[in-house]
Amino acid sequence: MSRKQLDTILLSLAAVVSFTLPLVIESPTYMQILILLFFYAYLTTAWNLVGGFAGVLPMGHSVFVGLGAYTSTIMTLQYGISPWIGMLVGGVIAALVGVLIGKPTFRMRGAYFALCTIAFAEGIRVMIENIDSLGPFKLNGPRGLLIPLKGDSFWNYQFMHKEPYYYIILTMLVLVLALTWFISRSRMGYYLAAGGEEPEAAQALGVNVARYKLIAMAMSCFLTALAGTFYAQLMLYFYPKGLLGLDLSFEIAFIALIGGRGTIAGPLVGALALRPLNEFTRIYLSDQLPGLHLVIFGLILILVMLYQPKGLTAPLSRIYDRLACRIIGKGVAK
Amino acid sequence: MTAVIQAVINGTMMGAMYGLTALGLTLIFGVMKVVNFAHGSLLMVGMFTAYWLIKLTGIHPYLALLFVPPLLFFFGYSMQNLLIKPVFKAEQQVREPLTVIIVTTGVWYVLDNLALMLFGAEYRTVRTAITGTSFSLGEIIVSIPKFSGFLVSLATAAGLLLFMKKTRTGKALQATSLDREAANLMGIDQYRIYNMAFGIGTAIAGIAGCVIIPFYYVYPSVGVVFDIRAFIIVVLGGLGSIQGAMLGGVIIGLIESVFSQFMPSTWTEAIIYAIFLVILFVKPSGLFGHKQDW
Repeated sequence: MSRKQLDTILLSLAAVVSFTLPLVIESPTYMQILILLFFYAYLTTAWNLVGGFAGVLPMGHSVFVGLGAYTSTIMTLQYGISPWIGMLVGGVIAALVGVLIGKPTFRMRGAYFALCTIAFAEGIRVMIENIDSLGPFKLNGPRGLLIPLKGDSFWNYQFMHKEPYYYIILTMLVLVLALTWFISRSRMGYYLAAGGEEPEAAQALGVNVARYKLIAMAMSCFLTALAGTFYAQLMLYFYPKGLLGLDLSFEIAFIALIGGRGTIAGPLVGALALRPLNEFTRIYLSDQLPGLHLVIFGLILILVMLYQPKGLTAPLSRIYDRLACRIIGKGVAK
Repeated sequence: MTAVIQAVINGTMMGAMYGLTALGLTLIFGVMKVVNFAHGSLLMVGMFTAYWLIKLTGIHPYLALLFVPPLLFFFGYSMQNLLIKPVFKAEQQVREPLTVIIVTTGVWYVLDNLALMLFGAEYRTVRTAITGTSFSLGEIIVSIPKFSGFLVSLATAAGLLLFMKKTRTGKALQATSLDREAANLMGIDQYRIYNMAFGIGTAIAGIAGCVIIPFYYVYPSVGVVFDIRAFIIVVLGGLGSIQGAMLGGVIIGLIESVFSQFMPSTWTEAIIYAIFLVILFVKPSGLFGHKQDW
């Protein structure tokens, strides 16, 4: 058995397991935890296109989640347009906004870029909290938007059970992972990596660093906005502080950093490591000691950065390599 | 008219204190090229330390200035030595180690939520001899706690400037901020200087905590309020610049207090963000920053 075959077998196994999980799990709580896990893995993979490959640290991606959620929800509530269409419109708007923000900010150095994205996201949040309607569109200020329950309907993007949501987000995650894999192996991936590490050198070699960063940003923002619509339809309610606040932006960045930014598996590893921990400590600990789950979260963040500054994917793939060698070795011996 | 003058005076006093909260941040950035996301939390630690000191011993609030800053100096010094130095060493080649930002964010989460676990979420105030006192200049009323906070802020900034210009350590701090490698070659221990910078920056957050406590609430996430403002102020003034931080603070304080005469205070927040972004786009190095820093 070759290494490639082993990889394929394991990947297909993972695919089969993840697609059959809803048949085994009956508790809606666990389903919800899984859905959110994939939701965060998806968001982080989309973030990774800019934050990982292009080598900057965007800390305000929640704005694009919000753009997606607000666009599709307003279109549904006020004009009766299906969220599936609104989702694409939101994506396009987010991509445009992303390019608009990216153009002046990409020439900044790391800390400035991070601060700038934070300020942008917080500015938008404060503004949305302060306006009830933007032209003809009702935003409802700090109260947020409530999507009325219409019952099971694919066209309305509403389902009474968790399974459809699970399969939608799983499909989205698989597609975005495939896209990242494809990009990382393409000319654009190499250009992005070169521009992230040594922008001057890449420029000297004739790579239009700024242009590739902008393309990556547009893609990242488009994909992030799609997740916003998903979130809105899953929860049927959202408000600026919860959706647009710094918490979500920071968590996306943390998942990427703990998993390993710039790697394909990083977001998935990070989400697998952090999300269950986050959910369970919140469910079981926050009643007795409010804040304990965030103390644990912060400690893990510090410890991973101290001992695995490149994230958990690097040591995990080393372990996998060693195991794979042993398995393949046996196969050869036979 | 009186209302506007009153607003200008209040804004200047408050702004100087915003500048004070930003001083430590700008010092640490200047020397280490690290944005310390835990800065607001360190301010919160300073406020809680001052709160308990005043509450338990009943001393005059400004006597806390003798105890809180040294304590926080030690705290910041150890934090840099134990947590940030190892990450820094791992990323030695990188000009601007972004991983360090994440470590400081982790510290922020831990500190804020430890405070939440220990003290609960309620807003606390401490009534001191000077709480609510004021003097008047004609029709204008000046709050004594804010006025003394204003004076302490100016004195701290002046003290820090003198320290940077006159002492050996201050000069070493400046040298490291200009060129890490060259300073290293001149026999300056880079990591000792980082410890000092972090310690001093944290001690200044302690000073800020002491002067804010007589007129502001203290609660576990109070740092966030000052944090975002401090970020905006240091960028406005130029990351790394002491004068810039003070001037930036006063500008933000003035905008807040004057604009809130004419519109809801939540809108002034939006205006501050907008101004911040405009400055970043037009002149990213801020009022007093160096061009190479951004």
